[in-house]
Amino acid sequence: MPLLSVRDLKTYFNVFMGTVKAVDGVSFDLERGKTLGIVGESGSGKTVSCLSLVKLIAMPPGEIVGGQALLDGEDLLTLSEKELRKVRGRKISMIFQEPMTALNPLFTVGDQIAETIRLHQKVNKKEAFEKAVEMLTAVSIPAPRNRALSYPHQLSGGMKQRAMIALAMSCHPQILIADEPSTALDVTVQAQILLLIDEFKKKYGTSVILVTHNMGVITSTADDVMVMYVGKMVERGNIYEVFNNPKHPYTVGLLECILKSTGGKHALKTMPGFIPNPINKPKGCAFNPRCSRRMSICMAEEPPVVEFGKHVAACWLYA
Amino acid sequence: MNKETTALEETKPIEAAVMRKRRESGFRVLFRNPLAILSFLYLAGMGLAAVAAPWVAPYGPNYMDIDARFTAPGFHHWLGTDHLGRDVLSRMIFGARTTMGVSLAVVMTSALAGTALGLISGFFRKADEIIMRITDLLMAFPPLIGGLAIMAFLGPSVKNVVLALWLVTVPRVARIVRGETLVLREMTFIKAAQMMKAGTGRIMFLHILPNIMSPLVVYFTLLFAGTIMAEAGLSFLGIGSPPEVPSWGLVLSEGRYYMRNAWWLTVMPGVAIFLAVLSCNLLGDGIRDVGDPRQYGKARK
Amino acid sequence: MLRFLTRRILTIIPLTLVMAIMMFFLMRLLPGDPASQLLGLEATPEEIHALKVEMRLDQPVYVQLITWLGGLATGDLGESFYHKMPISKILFNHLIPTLKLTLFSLFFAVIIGTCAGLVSAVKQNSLTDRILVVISTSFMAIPGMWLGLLLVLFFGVVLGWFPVAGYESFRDGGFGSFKYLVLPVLAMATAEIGILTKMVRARMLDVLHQDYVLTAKSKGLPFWKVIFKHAFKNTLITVVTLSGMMLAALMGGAVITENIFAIPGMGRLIVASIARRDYLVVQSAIMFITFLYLFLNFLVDVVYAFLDPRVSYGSLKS
Ligand SMILES: Nc1ncnc2c1ncn2[C@@H]1O[C@H](COP(=O)(O)OP(=O)(O)OP(=O)(O)O)[C@@H](O)[C@H]1O
Ligand SMILES: [Mg+2]
Repeated sequence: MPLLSVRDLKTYFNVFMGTVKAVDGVSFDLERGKTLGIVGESGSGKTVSCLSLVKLIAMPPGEIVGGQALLDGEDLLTLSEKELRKVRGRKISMIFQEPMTALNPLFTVGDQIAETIRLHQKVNKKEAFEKAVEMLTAVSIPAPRNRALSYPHQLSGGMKQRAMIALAMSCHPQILIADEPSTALDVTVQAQILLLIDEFKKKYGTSVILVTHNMGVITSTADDVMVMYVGKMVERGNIYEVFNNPKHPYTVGLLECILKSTGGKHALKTMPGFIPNPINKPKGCAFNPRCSRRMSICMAEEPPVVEFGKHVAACWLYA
Repeated sequence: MNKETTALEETKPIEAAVMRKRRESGFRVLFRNPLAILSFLYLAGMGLAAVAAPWVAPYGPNYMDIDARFTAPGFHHWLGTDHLGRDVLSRMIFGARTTMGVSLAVVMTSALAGTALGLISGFFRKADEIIMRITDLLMAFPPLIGGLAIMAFLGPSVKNVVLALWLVTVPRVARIVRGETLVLREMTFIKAAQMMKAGTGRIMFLHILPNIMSPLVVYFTLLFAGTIMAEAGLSFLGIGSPPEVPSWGLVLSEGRYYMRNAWWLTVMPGVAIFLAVLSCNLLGDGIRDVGDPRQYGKARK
Repeated sequence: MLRFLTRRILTIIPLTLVMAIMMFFLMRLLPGDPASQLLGLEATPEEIHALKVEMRLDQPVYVQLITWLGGLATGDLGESFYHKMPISKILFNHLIPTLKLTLFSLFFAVIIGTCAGLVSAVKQNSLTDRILVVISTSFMAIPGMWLGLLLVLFFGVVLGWFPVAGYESFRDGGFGSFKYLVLPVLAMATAEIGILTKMVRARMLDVLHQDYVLTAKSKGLPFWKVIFKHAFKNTLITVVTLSGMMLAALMGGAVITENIFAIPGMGRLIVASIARRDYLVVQSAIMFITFLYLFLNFLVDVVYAFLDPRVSYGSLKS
């Protein structure tokens, strides 16, 4: 049985201009000790999917319209706020894209980590602080005791992200959600951060959801991958299967992008066309205006989810 | 830590492309805001009445009808009369002339001078040093106290009120313009213009000025409100406009001794100041919202 | 921290000096000279000359300037023409009421404004929020002098709850002396409450959208702790910054309020002295109240530096 099993998750935002179906029927499984990569272009609903799991989206305008998120058989979406607080930080914790702003500028790094520890473990202030220093050591921050007493502005971007990982891992959660943890950092630091997350995964058996819009990042660390396009799951499966045998034209396009970009000259080839307006999505398959293999049915009806074993794709080509 | 900029935090300039897009639909947003429209109409009406005071006002501002002293608001005197039998409505309309005229003069002149000084300050190091020291000095006085100091030694006259309030507002405008200029100057599209060797003047007027205009206009409406208050305050203290020139503060000040019996002498000028200041603030808010992408109903991240 | 504070003090000193020089020359702007202004048209040349000597106006300008600056430094500001008393003593007598009025108003406005802004932001778009927005917008536009008069009329004259005017020192009246301050403080604080409510609301909404608030929530912190610990401390910094600006407004407002309520403070002293042409007092009092303002502002900065590690650890350029 998978650790986390999400079924048909729907999160909508009611804004002035209409309803944004940010996440519209997404399903996936996260296995124990494995990494699930979620890829998709900007605005495809990756962040909202993750935040919905522990109800951290802004409500209103956001609303979780339907679906299930079973963690060890318990549906997170039906939990009360009080019960959810026991899940957040203890069973599921998160790292965000912007390490610069993710830590509160007015409290020391050590305090912020210790706060989490005291929240979920029965320890006194001093023990919590010692544990915070331990965590900072574990993420290989030099002079951890001094850094624990530092304020966020005194740390570099990479160090802040390490501190964020220390914070997120401080209660040894079952699931770590890393939402583009390396995007805002420079290239050398990026690799270090991803490696660090991988280390923790192996050491504590933590399951990781790694959100990114860079396919390359996924290949080195993920076990499974889910591709999203404007709120929908497009393709999902084992990383090798998806990479070696992509089914959906969108996945094919994404992969072509990285293949070509590693090929040298055309460093940044992107797919033709634009991401549709999330309020006014195209009828049928949302990808149809950009699709090279479009059929008439693609413009009329939503594609079914076709299964190839554990590898699934939502496309009319295989129906 | 610059206090003036923190207060204006909500009106930081944003990138040029975004701004241009805003200008197109800006008026539409302003039109959706009935309060801002109403405020604008009120201020415009007040301004017109002030300009046309001699024709609009039923009596002369200083015409005394001793027999009709302390007449309550009624048919002949819509807003009643004061202790000398002067028509309150007429005095208020002529008062609008003084109060709004002074405020307009102060805001326009300090907007011009302050913007020029701020732009220069933002571009030339040496001038910046000097200008900033002078603004430091002028801003060391709490606004009303600074005005008071100048009025104390110059004597009450409309011209002096304008001068006093001008000296109070110019450094503040200059500070804000300088701050916005420095922020913008660092932004890529100005850097690009510099790289293409556009002259400093060209950058100032074609790149900086249009882009700081929208937060500035908001600031000017608020400044206008502040100046109305300050002018009324000085006149209330008897050191603003001289007794023969009616202004709202003066009418309020004269009426207060008869407050118990002739409430209208206190209520009317206060309401006039309140409405004028409120309208300016609401209009300012409306204009600010035009510069706020959230108002376009776009989903915000 | 210490370096930040020393730097702040070091900027105040030259500023005060230049201000003193400016005030000195401002006095020279008077048409004619202060002595003949004071005595009016009927005065004989001998009388005028005698007063000139008394006011040290017969000496060269630089001597007068040095005397004035030296006086400021030593506290000997000369004698008031009207009161026939050392000016420093007069200033001291008028200081406490102004200080009380200003600080109580500030305190009151900060408490009410911060709470209202906080509630408004946390309950954004609710009925409470809408009402608070309307109230704060209106409060901002109410002229303090007008409100003062209306308060006198209603609570003083009609209801008779509070004295319509006057002042009592704490030594004379004990806690009963506060009844004289209630209406003036209300008149002064109302506009500031409006401004603060609006600013705190805006800042708080801004802070609530910051990433670190999301981090705090994702840790499993309860709602109130996210609000009061993580979000509020960041908002508090804005409140402190605004306090400096509010002080400026309040000290100006005090001048008007003291005149409405006949409170013997600095503002009333200044306005009365202008009417009496007691220019030496005007000059010294304005100098003094401005210095007071700079000093209080310095205290505000100390609090700020205390709250924000980015200032106290010297990474934020001021
Ligand atoms: N608070 C909100 N209010 C309204 N709409 C929102 C809100 N948050 C997100 N959305 C909308 O939901 C959609 C999905 O956003 P999401 O942040 O999940 O994208 P993403 O895949 O994480 O993109 P990125 O790669 O840029 O982080 C977007 O269209 C966004 O505009
Ligand atoms: Mg995202």
